Amino acid sequence: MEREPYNILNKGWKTTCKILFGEELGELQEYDQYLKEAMVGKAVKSDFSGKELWVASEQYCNDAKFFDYANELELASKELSKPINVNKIKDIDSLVNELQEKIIYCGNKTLGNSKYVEYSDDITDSVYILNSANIVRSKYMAYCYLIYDGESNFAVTTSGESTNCIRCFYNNSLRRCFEIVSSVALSDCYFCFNIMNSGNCMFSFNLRAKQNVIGNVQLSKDQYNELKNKLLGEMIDELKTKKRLGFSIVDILNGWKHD
Amino acid sequence: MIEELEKEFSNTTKLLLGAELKGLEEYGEWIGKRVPIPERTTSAISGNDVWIPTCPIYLKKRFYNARSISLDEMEKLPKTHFNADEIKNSTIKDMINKFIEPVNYYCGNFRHWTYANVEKCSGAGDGRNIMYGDDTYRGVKNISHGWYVLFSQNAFGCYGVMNSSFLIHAYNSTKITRCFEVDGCKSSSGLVFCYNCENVQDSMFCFNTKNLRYAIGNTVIGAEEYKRIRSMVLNEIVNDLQEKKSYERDIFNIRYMG
Repeated sequence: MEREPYNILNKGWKTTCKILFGEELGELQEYDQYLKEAMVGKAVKSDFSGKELWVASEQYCNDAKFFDYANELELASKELSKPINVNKIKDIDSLVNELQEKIIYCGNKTLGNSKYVEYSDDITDSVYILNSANIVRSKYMAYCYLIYDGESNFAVTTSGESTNCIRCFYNNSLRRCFEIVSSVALSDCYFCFNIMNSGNCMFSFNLRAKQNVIGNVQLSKDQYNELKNKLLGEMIDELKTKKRLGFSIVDILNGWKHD
Repeated sequence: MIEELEKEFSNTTKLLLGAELKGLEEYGEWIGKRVPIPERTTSAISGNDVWIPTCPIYLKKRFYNARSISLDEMEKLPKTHFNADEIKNSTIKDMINKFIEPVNYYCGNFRHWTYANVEKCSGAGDGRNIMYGDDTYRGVKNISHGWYVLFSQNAFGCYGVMNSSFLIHAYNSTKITRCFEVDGCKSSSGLVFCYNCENVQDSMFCFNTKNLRYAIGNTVIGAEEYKRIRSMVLNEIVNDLQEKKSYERDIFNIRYMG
């Protein structure tokens, strides 16, 4: 990413880490391998410039052609606007033959009022977006997919109206969360699944309207904060050292055990 | 099989392709070929079917190995038998390996709001007549083999679609109607094999274009000629579908030659 937009996005990353873990964990690019695990889409190359592009779908066939929608539309339009000879069309095969040079897909679709978007596709009315796809009305996001009305999210998929989240998948209305799946209206939660209308929960599953819970055990506020700080301390050590954790909430749900 | 859904599938094929196709399950493999449809596992509590998602948004991992229950069995889940004293000095390893063991269950068959005739769905609600749906919500009706389909009706084999109707194989599109094999289209209708089109009507094989009607390959050819060629194209597709219950060419693989 260009230097200045990256610096701003990086600042958003550091702020989110500070909010979630109580301290910064390092630069956004240091966590690239960890965060890009959440990306949905495919890397392709522009047929015009060879520039690497991101496209939101993984479905395109191997010999599909692409162009950079944000920067090469004029170039592509020369071919796209050439008239066709309808007299050559006898069946679908001959029709497709007639259209050969027009069958071209694109990446880097940046639409509406969007700015400072890089290596992303299908971004609408959003700013400071990196390595993402299908983002609407959002800002300061990286490695995200299918988000609307989001702010400062990193490696978050299909989680609308969420802010300051890292590695959360299929949720809505999260605030300051890490490793959450299938949850709604949570704040300050870590490693949870199917929780709704709750706050301050860790390693908890299938709950409604809870506060200060760890491992589905109800705690007092002081008990919660004490254990939370201990567990977060372990996470911080591993994140700072290895730039990733060795497991996710998805692994835990699949029965993963710690060595 | 949901009778009303079956009927609407035929109605939709009649509208889009000019011929009624019958037997939604028979065409199931073709309809769902590009969509991550839910898969079946078994409830750890009751042994009943639980439908879980297969879409790539969970770090491209699936939950097939998870200990699963259906959402409507949540109240039957065991409570933790641990207390605050027992967990207070827990490490992450203790937490994962021991303390969450009694409560770590994956939940499929998500349902929200009101719904009717919903089968084989990992997540659906506020709608009716939905089969093989994942994340199909908000005023949906007559949806089969769909992922992330919202505010839409009569959509078969679609994903990433909102505020749309009468579709087969529509992807990443909003406010479209009567479309067959489209990707990345907006505010358009009557499209066949179109990609990244906006405000385009009654057109085929158009790519990266706007504001057209009766166009093929981004060239406006007029209503009469368009309808003639469209009829020829759809006849060919319908013949293949009726014979093989499948059609190889799609919006991601247009150059396919049989």
